[in-house]
Amino acid sequence: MEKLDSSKILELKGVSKRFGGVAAVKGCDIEIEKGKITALIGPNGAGKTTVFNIVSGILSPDEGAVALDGKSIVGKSVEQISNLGISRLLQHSHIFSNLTIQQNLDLAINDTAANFWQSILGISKPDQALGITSNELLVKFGLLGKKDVVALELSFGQRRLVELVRALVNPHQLLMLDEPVAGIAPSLREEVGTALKERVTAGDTVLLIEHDMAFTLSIADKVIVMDKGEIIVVGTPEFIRNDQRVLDAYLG
Amino acid sequence: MEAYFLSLLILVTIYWIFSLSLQVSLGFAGFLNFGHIAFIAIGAYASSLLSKVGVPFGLSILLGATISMMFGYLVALPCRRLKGDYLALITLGFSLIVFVVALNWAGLTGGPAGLADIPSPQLFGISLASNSHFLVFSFFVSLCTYLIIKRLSATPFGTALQAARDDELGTQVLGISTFKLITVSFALSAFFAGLGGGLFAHYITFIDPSLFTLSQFIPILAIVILGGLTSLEGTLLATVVVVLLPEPLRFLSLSSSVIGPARELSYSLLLLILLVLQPRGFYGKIRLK
Repeated sequence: MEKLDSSKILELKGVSKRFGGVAAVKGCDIEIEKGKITALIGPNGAGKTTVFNIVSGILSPDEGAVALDGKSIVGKSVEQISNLGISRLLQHSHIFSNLTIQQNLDLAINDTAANFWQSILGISKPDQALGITSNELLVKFGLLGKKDVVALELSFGQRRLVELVRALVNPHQLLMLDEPVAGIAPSLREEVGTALKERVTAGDTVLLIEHDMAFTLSIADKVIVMDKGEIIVVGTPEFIRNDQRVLDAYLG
Repeated sequence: MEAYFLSLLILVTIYWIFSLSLQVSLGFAGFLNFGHIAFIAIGAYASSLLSKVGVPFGLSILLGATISMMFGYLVALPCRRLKGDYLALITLGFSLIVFVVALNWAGLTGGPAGLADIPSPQLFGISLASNSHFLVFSFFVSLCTYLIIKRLSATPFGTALQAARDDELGTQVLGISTFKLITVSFALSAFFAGLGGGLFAHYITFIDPSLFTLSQFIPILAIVILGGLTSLEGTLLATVVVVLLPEPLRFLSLSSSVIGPARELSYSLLLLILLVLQPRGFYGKIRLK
């Protein structure tokens, strides 16, 4: 793939994926701009999470190209893609249930944890170049007092928030969030939205899947609508709100 | 009577090493590792064979442990493609293969007749043939094993290993290689298992394949479950309990053909009772899925 416009952090070209006889994603072209919040929306089964899983390296595309910062990432492993700068919040809970909140977050910050010698000799260095500490985020979400609590003992919403903070502090250039506010109390959803907007102001880039339309349309700069594996509309939240094709896709 | 107590204490130190090393693969990494008894066997056979050709005791048990470690790494390699229970099946297969090789490669292992006359250990010119000397040494080795694994559990590597146990994909999306974690932890577990195996062989000076069957794995598994997954102190308490548990049988006037099976039965019963009544052991906090 040729070197692309530097304002595009992530680019998908003609990406397709089939599961048996079902075409989950059909020839999708997606461009994600730096420093923006882009939302990927669509009815259940539209192929949103499949697109996310292809970008994260959990699935490999049948066809098409995926490039991060102009370099192809197809065929790379999940951890390689994470280390290239994509932080991912997964759709279902993947918290480390026997570890404390602090331990969950430390692992996100420390990328050399799997290195046995660095670890046992005490020379593994946490990544400090984030401009935000996990503590600030924990304060925002009312979790600071629970830092040393084992994740098993948290409520569903609290676990989700810990996972969100974990994705935020994991060193990255692009943050991909799959339903970040699902199961989170409405009062806290606003906090999450504010936190994401603050991160973007500070230079972060967010790609988001979310079913809460009010939340999504209030924070997104750009919205991509998928239906049946295809991209049907791309536009600003105002444009999407009034587009007939979007209403048709949602209402069937 | 003194010799009897000393021998029990020696067994406690050796079984503590067996169970501490199982904590690494089962407790921290979360894999039901049936290969554990085979790693013990490899350490026992390799170090004994080395000793018999004149390699000094200290070096031979270290080399035995290292050979076992290499097998530990190899056995874990399929974890790149296989998840949890399937890797357990691989370790089970490996365990059976090692047993069959020990039984049939008579030229190397002595086959069913076993390896006799394993030289009594000597270290820096001091004979460890007496129980009291051996106890000091085996206690030292078990304490080192404990301290190293304890230290490891508190490092980012130890935390990451537990994270991979709780959620493999969740660990990978943070940029941490679970492949590295699992293979290194299996190698480490096998190293200490092999070290314990070498000590064991040089203590009893005679080994045969019947010492390394899956039923010999049951007491070690029972110790780890009783002590609680990842609880290294609980493991010590559990080792004392499990090693002493069948001892009263000795004082009943039963024939030896009854005592052997009764021992094995007592371990299996203990394991069953534990799993029903106290699945998280003395100090266990870990909940597996």
